[in-house]
Amino acid sequence: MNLSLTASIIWAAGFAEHLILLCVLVFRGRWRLFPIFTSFIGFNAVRTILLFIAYQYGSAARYNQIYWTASCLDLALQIGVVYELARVALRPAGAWVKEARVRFILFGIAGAAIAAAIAYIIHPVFSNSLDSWIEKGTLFSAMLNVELCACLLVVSTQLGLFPTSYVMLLAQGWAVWSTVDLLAEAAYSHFGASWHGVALDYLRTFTYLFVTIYWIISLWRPEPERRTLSPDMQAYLNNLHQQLQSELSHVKKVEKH
Amino acid sequence: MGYIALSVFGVVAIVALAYAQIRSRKLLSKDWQTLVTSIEPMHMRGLELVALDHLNPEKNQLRLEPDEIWGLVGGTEGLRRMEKNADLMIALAAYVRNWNYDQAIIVSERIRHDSVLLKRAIRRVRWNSRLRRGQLRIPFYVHQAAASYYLMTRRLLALYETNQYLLFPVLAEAL
Repeated sequence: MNLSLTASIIWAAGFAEHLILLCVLVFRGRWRLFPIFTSFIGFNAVRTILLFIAYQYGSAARYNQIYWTASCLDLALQIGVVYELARVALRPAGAWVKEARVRFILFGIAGAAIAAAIAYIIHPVFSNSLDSWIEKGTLFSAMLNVELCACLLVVSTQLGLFPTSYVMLLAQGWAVWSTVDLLAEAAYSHFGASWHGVALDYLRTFTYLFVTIYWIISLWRPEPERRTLSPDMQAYLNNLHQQLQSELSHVKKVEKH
Repeated sequence: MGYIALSVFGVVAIVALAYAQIRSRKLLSKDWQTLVTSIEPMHMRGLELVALDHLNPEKNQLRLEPDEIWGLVGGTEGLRRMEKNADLMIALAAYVRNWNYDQAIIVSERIRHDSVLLKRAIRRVRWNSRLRRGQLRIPFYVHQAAASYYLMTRRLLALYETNQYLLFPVLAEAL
């Protein structure tokens, strides 16, 4: 099987980005904070190589076998990544904020049940029954991803746990990608592959590529500094502090005499 | 039918994501002065009376009548202000990380816990008022809300008094 030039470039770009992101995670030590995310990126890099080899040199059956096995693992890792983001964002003091954990799990289960019901009642425009069920499964995973990400961000906001720095940046990227993925999948399922199927695939792929670049840059940079006082307020405090020190030393001198 | 449900699901998820993003950005972008000046003043003496009646019971525990309690916390407007100020107080507690990381983290957690109790009590007051049921319970929830808010202010002020005594008077004035 031969690949078109565009497909080859996209494949190569995806692999290169995953590899760079993996290096950033490992060499900048971010893997300690996000071990599941690091595994997800490593898995994607390996998957790209395996799929490429299977596509170029293997049979269609072998390619499908690897593709679907990898897709199941991919879904499990995606859920794991959202859980990991929640674990970092909703545990500011190293232990779960009780309310946050309960709310996240409750909203997550309720959302997953709704997503499963919607995927069940939906009728994708595929004549083949197997294709139809595969599409239902893909839609469910896309809905689950968006829903869990929304749950994480809403719960953290409701409880005043405003995630800062890396976890915020990862969650933002994840939210953008999962939303575009859901929109593209919904259009694909409703209109079929003949309706701008290639454009929808490109939209999803390029969004993921841009999000990966965003993650590479964000995780390469040092963690953003914590909020500090405004320069005016800081200057006022410094002056006040000096004034107090000077008055204190004056009082001490008077006490000595 | 299925695609209508899917569209509703997608719209709700996107609105939720946008809401969370905008709200957290809004609060994270505020500096210390803006946070303090955003605090809406409460009638602290009245609130303290209600809170201490709940937290520190004395011989005559029924001295405050439900109408009196409602008036002392500022009624519906008072509850709205408490709810709004709660988020600002969590952000102000988080600011102390710059000077005392460990203490700020722990006190922020306590304040956040009080904030959860406060918001839950306010939610119950609102729902019971709207549904016109459990009218007898409303004063209990108002007591709970006042006590949680009072504890939040005390914890925050104590945190600033210990770690940032120069900012303490400004904060005390605002609260």
